Amino acid sequence: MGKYIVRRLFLLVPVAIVVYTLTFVFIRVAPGDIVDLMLDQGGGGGTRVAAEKLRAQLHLDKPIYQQYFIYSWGLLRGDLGVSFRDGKPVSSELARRAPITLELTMMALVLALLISIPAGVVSAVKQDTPADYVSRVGAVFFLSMPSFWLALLILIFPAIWWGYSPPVVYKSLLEDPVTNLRQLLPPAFVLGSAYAGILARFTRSSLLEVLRQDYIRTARAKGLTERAVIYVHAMKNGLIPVVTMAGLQSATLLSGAVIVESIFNVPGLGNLTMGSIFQRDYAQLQANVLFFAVVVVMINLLVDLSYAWLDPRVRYS
Amino acid sequence: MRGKYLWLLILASVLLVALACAKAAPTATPTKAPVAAPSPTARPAPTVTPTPARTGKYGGTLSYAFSSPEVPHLDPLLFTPSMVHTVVGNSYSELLRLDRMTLGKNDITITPELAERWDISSDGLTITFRLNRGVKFHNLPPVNGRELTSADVKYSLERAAFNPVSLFQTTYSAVERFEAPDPYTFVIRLKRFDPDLLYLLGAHHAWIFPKEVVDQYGDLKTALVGSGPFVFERWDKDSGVFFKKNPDYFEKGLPYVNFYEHLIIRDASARITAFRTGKLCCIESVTATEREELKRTNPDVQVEKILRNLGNPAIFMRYGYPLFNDIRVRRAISLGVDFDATVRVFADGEGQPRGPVSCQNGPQWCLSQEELRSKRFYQRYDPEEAKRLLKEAGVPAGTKLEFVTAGDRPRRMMAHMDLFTEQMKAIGLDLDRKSLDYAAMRRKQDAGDYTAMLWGADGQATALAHLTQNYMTGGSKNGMQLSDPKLDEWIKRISSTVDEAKRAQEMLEIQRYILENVLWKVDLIDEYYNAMWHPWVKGWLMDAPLVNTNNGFAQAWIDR
Amino acid sequence: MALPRRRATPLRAIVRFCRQKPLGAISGLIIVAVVLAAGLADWVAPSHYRTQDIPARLQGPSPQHFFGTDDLGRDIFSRVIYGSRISLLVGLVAVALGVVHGSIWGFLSGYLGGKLDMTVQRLMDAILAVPLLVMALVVVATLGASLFNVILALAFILTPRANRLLRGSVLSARENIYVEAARAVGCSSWRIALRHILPNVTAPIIVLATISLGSAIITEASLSFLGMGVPPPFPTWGGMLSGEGRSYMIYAPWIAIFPGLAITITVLAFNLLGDALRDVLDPRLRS
Repeated sequence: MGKYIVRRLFLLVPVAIVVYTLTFVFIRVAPGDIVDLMLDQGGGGGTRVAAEKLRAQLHLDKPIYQQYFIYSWGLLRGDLGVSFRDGKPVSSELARRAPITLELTMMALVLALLISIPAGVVSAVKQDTPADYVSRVGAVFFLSMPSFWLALLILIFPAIWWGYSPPVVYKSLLEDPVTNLRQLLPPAFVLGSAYAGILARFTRSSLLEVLRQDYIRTARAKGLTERAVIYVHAMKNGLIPVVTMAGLQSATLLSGAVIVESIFNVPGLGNLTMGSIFQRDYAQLQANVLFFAVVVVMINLLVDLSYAWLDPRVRYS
Repeated sequence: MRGKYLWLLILASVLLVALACAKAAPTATPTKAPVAAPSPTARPAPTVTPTPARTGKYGGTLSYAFSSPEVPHLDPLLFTPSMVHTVVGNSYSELLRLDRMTLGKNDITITPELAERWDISSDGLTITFRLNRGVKFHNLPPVNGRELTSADVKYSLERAAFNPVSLFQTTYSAVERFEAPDPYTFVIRLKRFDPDLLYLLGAHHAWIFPKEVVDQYGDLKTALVGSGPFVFERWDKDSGVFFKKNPDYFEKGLPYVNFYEHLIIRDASARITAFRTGKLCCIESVTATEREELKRTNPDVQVEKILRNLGNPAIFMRYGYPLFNDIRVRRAISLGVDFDATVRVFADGEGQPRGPVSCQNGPQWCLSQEELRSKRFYQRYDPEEAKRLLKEAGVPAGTKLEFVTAGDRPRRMMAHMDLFTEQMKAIGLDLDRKSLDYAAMRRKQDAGDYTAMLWGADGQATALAHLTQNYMTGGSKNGMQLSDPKLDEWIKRISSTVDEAKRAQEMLEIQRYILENVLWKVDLIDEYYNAMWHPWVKGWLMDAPLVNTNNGFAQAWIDR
Repeated sequence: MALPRRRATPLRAIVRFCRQKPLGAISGLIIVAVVLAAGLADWVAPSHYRTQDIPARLQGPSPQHFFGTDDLGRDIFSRVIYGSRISLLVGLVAVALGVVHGSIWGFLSGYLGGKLDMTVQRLMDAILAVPLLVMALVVVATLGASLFNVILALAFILTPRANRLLRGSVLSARENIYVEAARAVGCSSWRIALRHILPNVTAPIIVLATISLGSAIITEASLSFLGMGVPPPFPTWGGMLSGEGRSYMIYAPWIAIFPGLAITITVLAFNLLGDALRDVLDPRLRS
């Protein structure tokens, strides 16, 4: 088991290198850099000499491979660099934003599970009944809805009908829990609903599969109530794929956060990442993408390990 | 008791009326003959005005939302767009201040801020400022509320004028040196006459900051310690900048509110919803449609229209691209634009065609609307004439033309491009559209790496600065890469003309020349946008575009 | 059992499918309708997508304009119909490219194994580890927003799924007895691969492609929504929800509703069809 974990963690290295390199090169090839934006319209008219000086400060005047060398050297020493925008270490910005996105995605996950598991169970137990159809189509409907559209609707209609809008200044959960929840619940619902769609489908199919297994037949034959069969015997094994999905799709949840955070003005990682692309904050973008990659890989590892915990037949060596 | 409140109410309404009168008259101005603005060289030094009685109510929090994508950092000298300047202006002070009541009028008054008075030598090359005593920096480390002296002014302006990475060096190109002979005297010595300098010292970016902060942090990107009405508390790039009241502000009795929040809400509908539900006291950049709808649901909201003269659509044709070398083609493109439809779509019906320069510092520097749209120029809609010109120039109908626009911002540029594409199709030009993001557009424009683009026009604090930066060879905003020796010579001549009336005359003449013979860039319209506030907000003096000094909440108070 | 039996005609197969999977059949019908709308837009749409009528801007739904008009007075119903073209085109081509590209590398990766497998898999891990939209945005920002580049970006991010699927199938198929048998008979490796493994993975690939279409359409719409999709004048559903329309949505909610509904229904149809096909084609899930 320990060996397996070490091996998996070792595989993280090439993934991180590839992700980092891809982003590094792509974003630098994209036309325009931060200095172009600093010299945008309005204001006094910056000189071209000053622009070149500013580029030199950020190593933007060097060829990409040299910049890559500089950053890799920093990375090896655990230094992710400083933001092109405010000159602060990108790692501190990451550390500040990550908990916000974590809270948002956790809320989304909880909401998704609260919706999806009952829906999936009903679907599986009452297979091919109207309840099953409604639940299944509902699940697919939510996962077919573009998150930005649902976000727009959630912003627009309460405003039209009740003149309601979520609070505008972000407060952390510790600072002001009520405001925090009022801010994060709408985006969490948007993120969670698509996710609930995915999880409900998997709950259904995995439970169906389990219900066809021999040991369930045995349990039924022993005269256990249907309730006991489902909740005691089927659920544990039926949950494995659901947990798997929760892990495998974590990138989806983060991906959704990128657009949802920006619509709902949540100052999380997604918002930061999107800003970094449009504002050409290379250092911040590289760091964020690297962070995403590490998180996703770690989650996948945890998922694989949880297989072993949920299903005694699975053993890693 | 009653009488007291009534008195307050009357005062508030007088103030509001004054405010409305000061800037609300939108389209009426053009008929006025250009009136000479007070020449900075001739202006008598105003005497110190006595501290006015403070009649507002104290306390509360004002939240204002901002449409810009973010506040990337807080160093005004390392960022030219307004988003940084209006924010830091809440905490910094300047030597001079432009009177907001007179902005956009023919008579722009430059008033004292840190400077108590100033004298200009007879040759116009030495300006001596007497500073107010007892002005203190905010009580924050590393300065902890020490007094602001002429050494700080000298340091700050030197950083703006001579620091190699300052983006405002061109503003001070006429400056020989700054001197601080004693703590309350500050002297600017000029190499040559500069008609804009005093105005620019009162517009944005001439902020005074303490040396210690720059020494400690290397720049001002994350630190904000000034002597202005609000003390900086914290900042998030994409959610807002937060301030509290400066209890030691040198204008005694101000500000009224305890907290001021400068929020960033990118999504227009989210921003308006937040205003509608009272979470924001005030917003700007409201379109006419949005305004009407807001007035329907919130009938008592207050409105002021402001002419925005930057970021509105302009057509850039790259200098030297063969198709455009024929002036008839450029003229045809201009004639093909339906300016009224443009105003309708881009500005919801509230805007006006715009000439080649933005005239923030007074309409006397710009051609009148009537003249702009006269038969003589090409700022009018005449598709038949446009087709004739194209035919004459040998451009076959259906000629393909690559045109780029930014896809992400500013908002409504894409709708405008849709409209423009149809207008060009009608005169026989088939636009091959490309979209890029904003940063890429900037680079392409700066490098002249495009054929033609529809994009936001540049704005500068003064008409002359706009002309110089946009039309001079190598000008920092010369996106069309124009290089015309005749124009260069002419602009230099205007800049050194001391006589104000003559300078204004020349400014109009060069614009006429540009409209007839240059046309590598066709500015389309200026938009009126709306600033709105709830009736319980009093005394807000909102900013005029391109002045960008601060959001004008120092005098604002809450009454509910 | 739902799979067409021997000598079943395609028609009979379809009838069978409809009887067994009514939801899938309805979805199929919706997709056919969307495809027809896209193909026959010039005849179906009441007006051309570019026709502007400035005086009639921002009108609500009416018999003249079923879905109302936008800020340039264009008929939203017509634009939604025309908009299906980009969504379908981008979706289909990107998925085809992504699946083919991913499959080829997945096949090689699974079949040849070794260093190639290692390299390809780490690349795929990397693409999967970055949020879809971030990857797409970076690629489009680099290449510039155009029809071709958007397709390329989507194909790029859709590659790993097909890759994984193919590789997995090849690995398990390689162990199968019939492949062993084929090898014993003396077939060459390539022959084994093409003859025996490929037919075995076509069903899951079809299912994957159908479901990927949904996410391709959504990602394309998201890019357009952010102003980085296929540039106008040709309408896209995501583009109709972005920028311009957004500032009017509170007052003209029809601008927001209909294009979003079009995306949702189309993606819903592809997802339901994908489900139905999986149930029918994937033997393990048959009840």
